[in-house]
Amino acid sequence: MSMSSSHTQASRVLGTLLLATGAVLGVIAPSHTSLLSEGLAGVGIISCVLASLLRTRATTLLASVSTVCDLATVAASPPVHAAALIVMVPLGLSITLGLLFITSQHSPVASLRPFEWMIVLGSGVFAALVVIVALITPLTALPRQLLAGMGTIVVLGALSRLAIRARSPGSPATKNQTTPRAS
Amino acid sequence: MQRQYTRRFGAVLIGAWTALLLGSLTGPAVVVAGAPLMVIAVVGLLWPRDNGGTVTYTLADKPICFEGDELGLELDITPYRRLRYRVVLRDRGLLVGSFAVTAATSTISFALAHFGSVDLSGSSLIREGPFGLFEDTMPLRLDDAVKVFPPIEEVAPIMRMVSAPYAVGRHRSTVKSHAGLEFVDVRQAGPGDPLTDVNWKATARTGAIWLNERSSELPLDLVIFLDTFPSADLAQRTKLASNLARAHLRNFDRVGLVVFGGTIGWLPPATGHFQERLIGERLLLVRPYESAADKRIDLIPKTALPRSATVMVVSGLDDPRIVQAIRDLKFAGHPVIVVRPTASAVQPSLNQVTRLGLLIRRQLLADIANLDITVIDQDTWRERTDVDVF
Repeated sequence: MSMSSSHTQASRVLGTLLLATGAVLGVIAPSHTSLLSEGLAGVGIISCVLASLLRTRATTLLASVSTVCDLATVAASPPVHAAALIVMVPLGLSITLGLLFITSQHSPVASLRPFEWMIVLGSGVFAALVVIVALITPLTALPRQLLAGMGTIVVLGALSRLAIRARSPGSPATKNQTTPRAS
Repeated sequence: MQRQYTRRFGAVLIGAWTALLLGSLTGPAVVVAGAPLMVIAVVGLLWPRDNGGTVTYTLADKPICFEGDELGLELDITPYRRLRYRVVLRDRGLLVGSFAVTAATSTISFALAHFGSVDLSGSSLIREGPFGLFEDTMPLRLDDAVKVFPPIEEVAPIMRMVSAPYAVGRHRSTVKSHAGLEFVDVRQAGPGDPLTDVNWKATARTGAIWLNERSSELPLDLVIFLDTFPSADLAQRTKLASNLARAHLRNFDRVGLVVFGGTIGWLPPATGHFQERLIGERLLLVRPYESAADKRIDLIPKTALPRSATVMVVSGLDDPRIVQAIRDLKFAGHPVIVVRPTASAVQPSLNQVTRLGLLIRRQLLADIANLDITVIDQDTWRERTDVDVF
């Protein structure tokens, strides 16, 4: 086995462990778990184990499945008490790092550069801020706010995409324009 | 620079959207869990695009590059960001290698494993974005093709196997039209021999008529007739043709080249280092073109295939058109030698199909040999000694 492939294997194993940790945290965070959440966690763990064994393309796909399952585990039985939300911060970091490591082609040390570590840890801080906002905001109103925010993001994204296409020289909006000729 | 998002970005985006969707339906817990994924996705989407700065590069030019030689690509990237850079070298779409660039000014060493005219114009410098979410690609316009010549190998073992009545190179030649002045030997006169150079002493001593043998002073016209019909051993044949041409040119023979396959090309016989270079460069362009068209030696001009030239056919004898060409060459009066390079190692256990193929090939070689053509086929010799076909 070459050095680079052994590094990749190490990253994959670490990523698998982190994704599996995320699934376990998703199950144990709420006080009452359901069969659905346990099943989703099981699928997530199986997916991440398979992801570490298969080739690159399948790895990415299975890691995505595992991530979605981990998030769905949380969604299936969300924490009842607002204070339990704080467990979601390490869970999110675990899922994110697991996804990044399992799809990495480098060693665990070289997978992330210093500024990338800062972004990841900063995102943890951002998640903690979301928890604080959730604690001071009525939880019943938050889903609707999120839905509205998500819709706004989608509309803005679509509009910006259209604007970029209209400005690019080879776009259908501009390619029929003729250049003026000297008479 | 052209940006292309990776599969990893797709995985992160799926996670981020899942967190948003489930969060909107169930509560903030999923949003908190998916917040790092969302942040990373936003970083990937909002990372500014630029033109990659200035990249200067020069390919260290060597006067002659042989197969396996190391070449250097010097890179100078300005500005150099703290991201991962790599150079991907491609020869007509085929990957030559991928090399990490670890500093703003660096030299990449790489070896070209196969001979030929290597076109590296499709190579590119790739800058990996944060978290490997996307790749910015900048094409490197290495427009000048790199000529990689086949390695020089001794061909003496093959030459020793020639057991023809004629010979090539500095060896004795009995081509009558090139009879020279230097005495070599005497031989007994036969029917049809002109009695212009009788060795009177030997004739008086023995009572039979003996003639003087004189060696040719003119260089031998040798045409390397390379079979380029698609086959697994085409590269090997081309290398052999190159080495044969080089060996004969260094023996002061006039050597020409005919490329006979999907396309037909030729170089008339000539001598000297320039001809060696011409033949070498022509062989770099050999490609296995598929063609079902009938190919005949009539398509080759007389200047490329002089009447008195010895033709050395380098062929795997896999295509019936080359076999027909060998017959046509013999009937046209050329001395013909068929050289069949060593193919892959013979399998110890032969199935029936392989045995049938061996028998057909042996019959083909026997048919060619019956035409008074010397065939040098190392495989068949080895098979005869190692493997019992029946």
